[in-house]
Amino acid sequence: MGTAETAITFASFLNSTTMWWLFVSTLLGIVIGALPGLTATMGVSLLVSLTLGLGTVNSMVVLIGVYLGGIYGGSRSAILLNVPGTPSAAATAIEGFPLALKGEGTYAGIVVTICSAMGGIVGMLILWLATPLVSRLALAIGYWEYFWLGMFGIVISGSLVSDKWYKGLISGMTGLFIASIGIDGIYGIPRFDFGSTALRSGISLVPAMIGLFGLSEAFTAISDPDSHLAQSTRRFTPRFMISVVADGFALLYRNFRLFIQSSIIGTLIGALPGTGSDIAAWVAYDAAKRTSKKKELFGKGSYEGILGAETANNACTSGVFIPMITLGIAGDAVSAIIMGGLQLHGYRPGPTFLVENPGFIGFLCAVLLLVNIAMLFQGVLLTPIIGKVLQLPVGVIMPMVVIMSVVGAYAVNIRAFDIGIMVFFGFMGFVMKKLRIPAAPMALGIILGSLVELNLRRGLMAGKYSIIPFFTRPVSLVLVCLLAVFIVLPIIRGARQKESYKERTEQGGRS
Amino acid sequence: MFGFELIAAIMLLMTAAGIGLTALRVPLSLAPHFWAGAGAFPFILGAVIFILSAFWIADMLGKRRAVRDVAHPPVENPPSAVEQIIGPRDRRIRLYFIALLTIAFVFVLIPVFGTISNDFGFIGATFVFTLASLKLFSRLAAQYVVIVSVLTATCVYFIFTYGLSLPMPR
Repeated sequence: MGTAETAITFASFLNSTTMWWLFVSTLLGIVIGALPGLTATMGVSLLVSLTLGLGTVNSMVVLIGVYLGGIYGGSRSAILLNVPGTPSAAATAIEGFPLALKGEGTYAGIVVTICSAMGGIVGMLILWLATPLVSRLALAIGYWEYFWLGMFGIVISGSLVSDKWYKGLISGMTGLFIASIGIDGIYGIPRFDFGSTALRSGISLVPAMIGLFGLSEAFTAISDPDSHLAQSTRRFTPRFMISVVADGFALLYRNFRLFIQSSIIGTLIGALPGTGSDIAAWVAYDAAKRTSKKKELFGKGSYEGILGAETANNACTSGVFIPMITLGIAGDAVSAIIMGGLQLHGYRPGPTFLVENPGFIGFLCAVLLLVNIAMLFQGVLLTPIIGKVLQLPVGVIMPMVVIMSVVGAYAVNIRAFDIGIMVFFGFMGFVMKKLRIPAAPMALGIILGSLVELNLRRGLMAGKYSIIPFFTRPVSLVLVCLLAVFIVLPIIRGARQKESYKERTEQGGRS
Repeated sequence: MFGFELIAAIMLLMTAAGIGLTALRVPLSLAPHFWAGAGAFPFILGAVIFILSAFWIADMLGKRRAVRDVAHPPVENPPSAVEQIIGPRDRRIRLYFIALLTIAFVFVLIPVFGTISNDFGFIGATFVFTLASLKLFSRLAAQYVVIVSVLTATCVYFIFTYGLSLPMPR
């Protein structure tokens, strides 16, 4: 896409209504992310159907604003309360909270704000440059590779986010099965509908997502409000804030190499299907620790640690759009929901998406850039207010989440059946949490289910019912090998853990 | 926790077997081959979930055996299975209440209020749900509970009807 075309996209985008939604949604995202228990995924899943009436542009602006704001907002409660607002802020909590205990919480918060916004902007630039190239490559991919790419996402997500590899895979495979309920996409045969007309049209992604991430979290928070307890925060003056911001930029300048390294790690991990900002944050945090000259500070309040984690998790938010718009494959649960939102507006992300919608990449980059800038200003200005919002009792917030969940589930297809589906998935999500089964692979399974199934069957048909092309085509072979590595590695890790557990229990028994 | 997890794993195993068997009975229609038919993919998934859940059961039983082989000091007043899963009594009560309230909201309040008024039924149901949940789960004073409930119901109505132009559940 040319510079002139990008400028036109930018100009058409700058109207008061869109800017208003951008500002409000980023703010909402920050608040959602900052509230422990409310995640960016949950916020986006609640809003995907509620924004239907806003039109495609404003709807996407709201979803992206909430997504980016939510990922960033998670760091605020991580630093101030040692409770990561979102899973991607877990690494931030390790370094941020000790800094808060030392009385450097505000400075750490500002550093996080600057790193998040700047990391997001670098990620956006990589997205702008890489997407057309990946899009051209995507046109050469066939049924076989698509099948493996879909499976790759689900397997990686399943094996990385769970302490037990098989639990993640169970979640992903169950998601794939849920997606197969209803009328078959090739021959039009109903499956697993048990005579229900509503089930024949399948289980919608959005009500399932709202249930899994929204309602289940409301149940968890209400049953155990102490897990979402907030502490009081201190007062701030404008002069103090300005000096802290200047110091934050100076810190970023001093650690410029680490910043670029974390931005690249975050964007690349985001571009891998099945990963997400939490994995990006941990990998970048680990890389920061390995390259640091002050390793002894890690775990006790290291600015390099929070710089690495926060830059990467926000750079990742740009990276997830690369497979989504070029291959039609969602990288993680939240991009799966955003992709579902795009589909609700009649768009079909995939290899031909950028050919059919050449302005989309410019639009997306413009939104990402503006949201990151809005996030920078709001994050700095809202630091005192966020502290107050965090103190709202769970008993007041969570009933609102239940109401939003009901409305959100209903609004997608305007049918009461979807509310029932949402409630079912809410209970299922709660039970899954108790069983330590991650919900993200299930979300990916539901969104990628039809892609995986149709490409498996079409691949079989094109190969005259032979599975050999699934293993012999060059790209397929690479993906199969990678997939095997991602399945085998957690098994080896699990076996090692079992061995050490056995040794520990034996030692415990002897003593 | 062990019992709960074992029951869940066994239920999953049985469900997976059911999925596989049901998938085998999905008609072929125009498909020339089972593997191109509508039942193939669910059958494969059923088989994979069956294997994974069998592994889950085996892993749990193996771990249980490893723990049993080692002598442990007796624990005074060990927590019950439900306590291990959900937590102490107060947490369980809160969970039961929010679960019941949600079910009542979705399956009783919305349909009942919907029959009373098509346009404002959801608002009434929202008001009652908010009122009950704030009373149960927050420490707000009675007048604030009513004010917040009224405000919530009104905001929900205006935002979704006029702001976002979306229909309300009925």
